[in-house]
Amino acid sequence: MADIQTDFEDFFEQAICGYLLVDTNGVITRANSRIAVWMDTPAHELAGKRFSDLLSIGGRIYYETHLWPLLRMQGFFDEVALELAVKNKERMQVLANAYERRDENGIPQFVRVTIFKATDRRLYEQTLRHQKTIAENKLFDEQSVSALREQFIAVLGHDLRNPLSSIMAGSSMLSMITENEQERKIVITINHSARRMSEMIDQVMDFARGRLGSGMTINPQPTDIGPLLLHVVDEIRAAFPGRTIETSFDLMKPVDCDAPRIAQLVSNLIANALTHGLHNAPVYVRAYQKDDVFELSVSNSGNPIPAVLLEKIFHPFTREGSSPSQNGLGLGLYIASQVAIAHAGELRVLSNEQETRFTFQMTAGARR
Amino acid sequence: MSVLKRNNVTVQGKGTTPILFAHGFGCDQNMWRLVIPAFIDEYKIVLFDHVGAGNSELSAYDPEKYSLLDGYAADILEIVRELELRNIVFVGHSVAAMMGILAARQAPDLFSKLVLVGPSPCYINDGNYIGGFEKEQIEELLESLDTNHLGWSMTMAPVIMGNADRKELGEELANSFCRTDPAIARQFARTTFLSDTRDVIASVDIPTLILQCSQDVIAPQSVGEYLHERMPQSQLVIMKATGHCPNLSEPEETIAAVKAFL
Repeated sequence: MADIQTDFEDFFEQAICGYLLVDTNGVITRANSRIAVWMDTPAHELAGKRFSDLLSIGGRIYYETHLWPLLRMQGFFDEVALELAVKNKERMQVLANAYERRDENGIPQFVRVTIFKATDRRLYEQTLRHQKTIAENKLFDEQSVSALREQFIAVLGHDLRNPLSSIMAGSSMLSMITENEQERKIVITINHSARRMSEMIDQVMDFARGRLGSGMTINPQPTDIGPLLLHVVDEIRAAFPGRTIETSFDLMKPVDCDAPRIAQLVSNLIANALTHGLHNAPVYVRAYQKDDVFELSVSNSGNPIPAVLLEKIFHPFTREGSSPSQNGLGLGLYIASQVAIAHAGELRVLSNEQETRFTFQMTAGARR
Repeated sequence: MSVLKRNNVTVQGKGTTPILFAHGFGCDQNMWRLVIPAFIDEYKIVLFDHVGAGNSELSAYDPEKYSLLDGYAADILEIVRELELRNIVFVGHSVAAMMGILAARQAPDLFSKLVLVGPSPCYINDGNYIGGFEKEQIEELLESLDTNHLGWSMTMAPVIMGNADRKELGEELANSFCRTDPAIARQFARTTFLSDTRDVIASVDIPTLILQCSQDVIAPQSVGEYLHERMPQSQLVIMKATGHCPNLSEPEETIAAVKAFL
C-alpha cells in the first residue's frame, strides 16, 4: 500500500479531479482515467482531440475566443465555469484551471489543465441567480406600485386644495357679514376645520414627496431667524386665542437655513405642545445662537410621554391613543425630524414630570 | 465624446502607410501584441478596442447600434476619418474581418488592402453553405450565455482580477487582458454569431488576403474557400496554425503571410 501512496502515476490517474496535458496547439496529449470516466471515452481516445472538443458548443467557442488567448497572454486561467459535452448530449458542469508550462526562455511547452466536478456548485449558483431575478422582479413591482400610490396621494392632495380654499374664503367672508352670533360661531368653526384640513393635506403631501425622492431637499439661505420665529408664533397665537406662548430669543447673527422649512418645524413643534400640554399652562419657545450653534426648544408641562411612544415619536403616523381628529395624522413630528435631518441637525425629545421638551440643534454657519 | 477615446485608439510606428488592426469577439487590441513589432518600423499602426471591449468607453455602448455589424463598421469609418487615414491596410480578426468588409464597401477609396484572419460571413450552416454550426448549436451557445451557464464574464472578472498570488505579472498587464462586461459580451456574441454578410462579400473589389487556420472550430476551411471563390481579388492562404487565433499561436507565420501579401 505504501508503494501506491507514493506512486505518482497512480496519483495522476486516480486523482479526484480530471487532469489533461495539452500541447501548445490545444491538442490533448494525455488524459487521466478520471476524465475518461466522466467523458465515457477511453483515455487513449481523448488523446489527439482538441481540448475544446470536450466542451459544449458554448464552452468550445468561449475557449477558442476567450480562454485560449488569455492563457497565451497571461500564462494561466483559474476557476472558469465550463460544460463537458458528455455522450448522449448530456452536459457536466465543471470548473477548470489551466497553467502554461514554459521553458527557461519563456517559450510555452505544454499546458496542464485541471478539471473539477462542479455540478452541485453550479446548481447552487443557478438557484441563487434565479432567486435574485425573482427578488429583483418583486422589488421592481413593489416600487412601481408604491410610486403609483405616492403619486396618487400627491395628486389627491393637490386637487383637494382648491375646493378647500373656497370653503375657507367663503367662511371667512360669511363670518364678517353675518349679524347672527350663533351663525358666526358656526362659520368660524367651519373655517378652523377647513384650515386644519389644509394643514393635514400639506403634511401628507410633504410625506409623499419625502418618500418619492431621496429625503427632503432644502434651499439654505442666511436667514434672520428671530422675526421668522415671531411670525410663526403670532400666527399660532391667533389660531389658539385662549393659550399662552412665551418666547425668549437670543439671536445675533443670521442662520444658514431653509426659512419655510424651519418655520414648518417650529410650527409643528408648537402645535404639538399646545395639543398635548396642560391647557392652563404656557408653552415656552426658546431660541439662541452661540458660536456656531443654533438651538431652538419648545416645551410644555403636562403628563410625560409614555416610554413606548417616546421610542417611535418621530416615526410617521405615530399618535397618542386618543381620537385622530384631536391629534391630526401623526405626521407633524415626523416632518419636523426630517427638516432637522435635511439641515444636518438633530431633533431630540426629553419628557418627564416637570416638562416635555423638544430641542432642535444645528450648525448655524455654512452647512457641511 | 471623442471617437479616439471611445474606442481607445492608439497610434504608433514610424511609417506613413496605415495598418488598422481590428480585434474580434472575445478579446481586445492585445490580440495583436505579438504581431505589431514586425510592422512598427515601416507602417503607421492603428489599434483600437470595439465599444464594450478592453478599455473602450462602456457608457458609449448602444445595444441597438451594436446589434448589427454595421454599427461596428460605422465606428471603424469614424476612426479612419478622425485620423484622416488613406490608403489603409485593414487587418481584421474573426468577426472584425466582416466589419472591415462592411466598412470598405461604404468607402472603397480609403482602403487599399484587406487582410482577413479567420473570417466567416455566416457561422450557421445553410443548405449547401457550411458555416460550421447548426442553428441549434448557436442557439445553445446564446442560451448558455443568457443563463450564464458558462463562466463567460461573470467568472471572467475574478479570473482576470484575482491575481493576488501572481504579482509578477504586473497588475496592469494581467488586468487589461480581454476585459469584458458580461451583458455586452452576451450581446456581442449574438451580433457575431447571428450575422450573415454573405450577400455583400462579392461587392468588395479590393486586394484581399484570407488567412485560414487549420482545425479552426469557429471558422472551418470550407468558409475560407467560400470567401475566396466569391471575392474577386482574393488570395487564400491555409496556415499551419491551428485554432482560431494564429496572431497569438503562430505570430511568425502570420507576420510572414501578411508581409508576403503587402
